[in-house]
Amino acid sequence: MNEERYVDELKELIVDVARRCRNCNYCYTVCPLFESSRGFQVQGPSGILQAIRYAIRWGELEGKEKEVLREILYACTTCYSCVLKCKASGPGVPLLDGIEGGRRLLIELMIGPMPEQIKVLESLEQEGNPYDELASRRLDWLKELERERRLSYKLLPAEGVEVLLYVGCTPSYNEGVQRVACSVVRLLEEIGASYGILSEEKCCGSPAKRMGEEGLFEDLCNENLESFKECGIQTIITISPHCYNTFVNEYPKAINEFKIQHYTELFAELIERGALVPKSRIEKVVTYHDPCYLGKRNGVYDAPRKILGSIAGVGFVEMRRNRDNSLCCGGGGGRMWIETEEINRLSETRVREALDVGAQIVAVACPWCYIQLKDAVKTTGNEGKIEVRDVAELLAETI
Amino acid sequence: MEVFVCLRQTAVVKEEPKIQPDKKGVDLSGLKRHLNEWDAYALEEALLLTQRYGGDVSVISLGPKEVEDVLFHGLAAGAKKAIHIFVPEREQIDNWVIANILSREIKKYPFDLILTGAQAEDDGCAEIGATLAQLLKIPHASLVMKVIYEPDAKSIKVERELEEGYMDVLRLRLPALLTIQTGINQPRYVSSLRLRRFKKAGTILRVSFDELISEAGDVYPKKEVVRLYPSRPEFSKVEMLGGSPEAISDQLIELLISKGVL
Repeated sequence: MNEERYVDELKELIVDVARRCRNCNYCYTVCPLFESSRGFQVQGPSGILQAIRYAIRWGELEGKEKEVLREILYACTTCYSCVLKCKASGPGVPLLDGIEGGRRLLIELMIGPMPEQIKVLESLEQEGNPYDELASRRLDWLKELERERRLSYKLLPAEGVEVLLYVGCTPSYNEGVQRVACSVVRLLEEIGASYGILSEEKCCGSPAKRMGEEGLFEDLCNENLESFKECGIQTIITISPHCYNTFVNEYPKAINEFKIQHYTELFAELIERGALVPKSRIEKVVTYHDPCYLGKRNGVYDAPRKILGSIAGVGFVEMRRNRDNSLCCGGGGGRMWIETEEINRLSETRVREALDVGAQIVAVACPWCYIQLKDAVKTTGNEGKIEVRDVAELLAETI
Repeated sequence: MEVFVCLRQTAVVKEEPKIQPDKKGVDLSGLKRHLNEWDAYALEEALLLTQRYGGDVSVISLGPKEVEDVLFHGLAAGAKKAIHIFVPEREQIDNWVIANILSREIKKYPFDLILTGAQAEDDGCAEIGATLAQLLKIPHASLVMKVIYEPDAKSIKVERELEEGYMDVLRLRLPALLTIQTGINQPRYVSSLRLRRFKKAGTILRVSFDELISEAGDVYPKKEVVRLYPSRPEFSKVEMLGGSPEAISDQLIELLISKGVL
């Protein structure tokens, strides 16, 4: 497709979505960006959408305000709350399609992404991960675990493996989140799963997609699909809800030949069937923070709660905002790599909400929520009062 | 304003580089390549200048077929013309020879300004820009952090970065050559889709290195690499101390005493 046609199509998409928005502003009541910012009109869903719509109409994409427009568009955490709110109380406008279409347009016109995100995209292209880490070091965490215990996984592609554990970039490279990956592996070992890990795993493409880098997303998507097919696996288990959402909702239909599960779904199922039994007790008050890409985007609310409920001793409490009303941690939409001004830092607000209900542990099921909330516990000075643990870590501790 | 930008494709080195057995170079085989970081800023500055004052940007590079990646990048970013001086093998060519070849080719076209990166990531020599200016007999400024075009005077005013936070403001008669420092601007991001389109439909003018060198006459390398070696102290053994801070300090004191340091 030539440049002009591609740009025109994107503009049409944005204008079409924006035209359907009635500016009722109910989406502002659930928008984490609006809640955490100064509360300008352009710091909420319909305002962002109208900003890009009028930039197109008034030719501001060429003007000197284009950098301001970029900041407006890339501030959204893409948490999906606005879409759910509009579906429930309004005309059901897919606001995020317009906002993400705007990002694609800015990338095409060489205005986007945010300067700090350029290195992320370059690293995705060169090394297949967003962290500027060497592709050759992706499995180092696993080798470390293998020094502790014998593992039965197979490096894929290999014969006769049913389940692929798609580890993802953050659990592979982030020292803290590697503990989560190790817990998932321990649990898979416990149930005697026939599972494998890709010898040359690459990013699912989610960060590229969120930043509007559609071509890079397509490249990663095609490479992954090819390697999944080559493995002869039936099920793909993900650790990150972002990979899960990307596979389920954003990959082409060819992905449908595999069953995609977030690890919480798999382990909840096994617990229900009695195939996985938590043995020891955790005598703590635990709350659960719903990751946007697992909950709001995919409706997986019960599985992590079932797991926590199956652990003896756990006193489970809900935070004031939970399930589809849960507050975003602030790390989605490519914001893990940019410093945005937050008057009230979302992750800090969330930690306070967990403390308000007397939780000693806030359980998460997403690598980025894990990082964001752990940092927030420190920055709010609540170390020793509350811990951030992944559901997989807690479950593995009881086995 | 007609601006030429010289682009160099350099290897992306993220791990300890391997020195070749003859100890005269680094083994770059199997490494990914990209546009030299300084050249990305030079390209962006050229595009900003022509957007502001009119005119076109041309990009030029020398090397094997693969260097066309950086030329397509230049075209996708907004350059109007791309010239590839083709060298069949990826070999280390002396910077004096490169500057001579570039000058032979650039001379064929009208230009007001030539931009290069202040240095290259690989050899860090910072010599092609200055040599090229000398060969073309045009004024030159290095480590440029700001460029203002003065069309009436047919000159440019530039700010150069000096040590200790000092800036040097110079006026240069055009045509001129500037070597650009990183941080002068924010290079634009060229998307994969855009690059893919230009690789499919973009045009690159291919020029033979051999023809240019025979035109240039007696151009021979002026220097040779004698030896390449790491100058860091070599540690025979690295020992990681573990345990609590108290335990680590006890072990460290013991170790320092045993080595005769304390």
